Amino acid sequence: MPQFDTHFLTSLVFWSIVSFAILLFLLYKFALPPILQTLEARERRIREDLDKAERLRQEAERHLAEAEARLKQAHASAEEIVRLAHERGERTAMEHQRHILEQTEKMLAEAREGIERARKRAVQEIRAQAVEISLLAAEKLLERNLRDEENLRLVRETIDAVVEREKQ
Amino acid sequence: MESPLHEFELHTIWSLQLFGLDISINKAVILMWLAVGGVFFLFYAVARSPRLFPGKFQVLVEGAVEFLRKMARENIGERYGDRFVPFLATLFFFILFMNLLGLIPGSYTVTSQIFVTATLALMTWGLSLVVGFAVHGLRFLKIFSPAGTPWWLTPFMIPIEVISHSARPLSLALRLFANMTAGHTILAVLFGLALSLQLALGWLPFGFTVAIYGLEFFVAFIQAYIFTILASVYIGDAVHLH
Repeated sequence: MPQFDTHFLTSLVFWSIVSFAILLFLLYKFALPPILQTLEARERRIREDLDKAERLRQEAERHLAEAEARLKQAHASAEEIVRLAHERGERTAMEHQRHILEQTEKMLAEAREGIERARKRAVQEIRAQAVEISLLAAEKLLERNLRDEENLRLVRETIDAVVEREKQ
Repeated sequence: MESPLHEFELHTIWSLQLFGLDISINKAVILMWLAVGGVFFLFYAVARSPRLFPGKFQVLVEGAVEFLRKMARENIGERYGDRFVPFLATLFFFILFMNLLGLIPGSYTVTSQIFVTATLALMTWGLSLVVGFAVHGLRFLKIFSPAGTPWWLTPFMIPIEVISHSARPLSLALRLFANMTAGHTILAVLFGLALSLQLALGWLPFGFTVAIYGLEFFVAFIQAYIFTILASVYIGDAVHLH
């Protein structure tokens, strides 16, 4: 086989080593560092992006949970407000009613008192006039017939009648 | 009909001497240079302006580099693996380009030269020894007496292990050489057959030529990959002592 011809041994070995060394140097010095750097940069970038996405997802979940909680809270407080308003309205209405009732009763009591006072005054006045009239009548009768039994009886009856009327 | 081995013959193109050493330029040497230039051009085109969102060539080269880095980390370990990526990348692409350039009709398959594959194999093996001694010092010699060997077996184990260890560069060199030589010889035989026959029958070997050519394209990648992965395994062995 021509490959075993040692005539080319030194040349092939020498140039193999030199070519390999040159290529190794070139790749090591110029080609591989930027390529490896790019690879690492991309890896880092992807990892960071994934981390970021995960972080954002968690944040979004937290926001959602917060919003839901807030909504629930808002519902609860709205219900509470309605309930309070209802209660207050009822209480106000009841108070108004009671107030009106009290007022009415007071007015009634006052009116009853006034009527009672007026009646008493009228009774007193009537009694005083009756006495005066009786006295006058008595005077006149006395002047005319002091001894007349019949007349005396009339006077008494009159007085009694007046008294009786006043009593009613 | 010429010999199917004719294509492996070399002829000095330019006589050259260095300290009495014959370093004449021949076709194989020129193809080596073309391989170096081709690999560097591909890498440099990508490395000059690497982008975070890569183009086609960048994807190709980055994929290969990442693949080699993974290989190095798996076989050599996380601690030392990355340091050997340049060596493994050079090995892989140098062999791959020499294999592929050899497939161009009229060019020369450098990896069908046993001296070239032997040089690369011995370099790889020598590197694994240097790494072994650098990492473990003289304890590296334990690699010739695997752990768990009974003491009375040791005298037998050591020569066996020495032979098996020395067979590594031999197998590396022969595998690549034999694969490339055999493939190209078959191509030459089939094509010679196709030329020497009438068209009525000649299309059959010619069809085989096309099929084998496709296979050889595949083999060019496979052999470069095997050489590189074995290199990483041998270096890993030296780092881990099995």
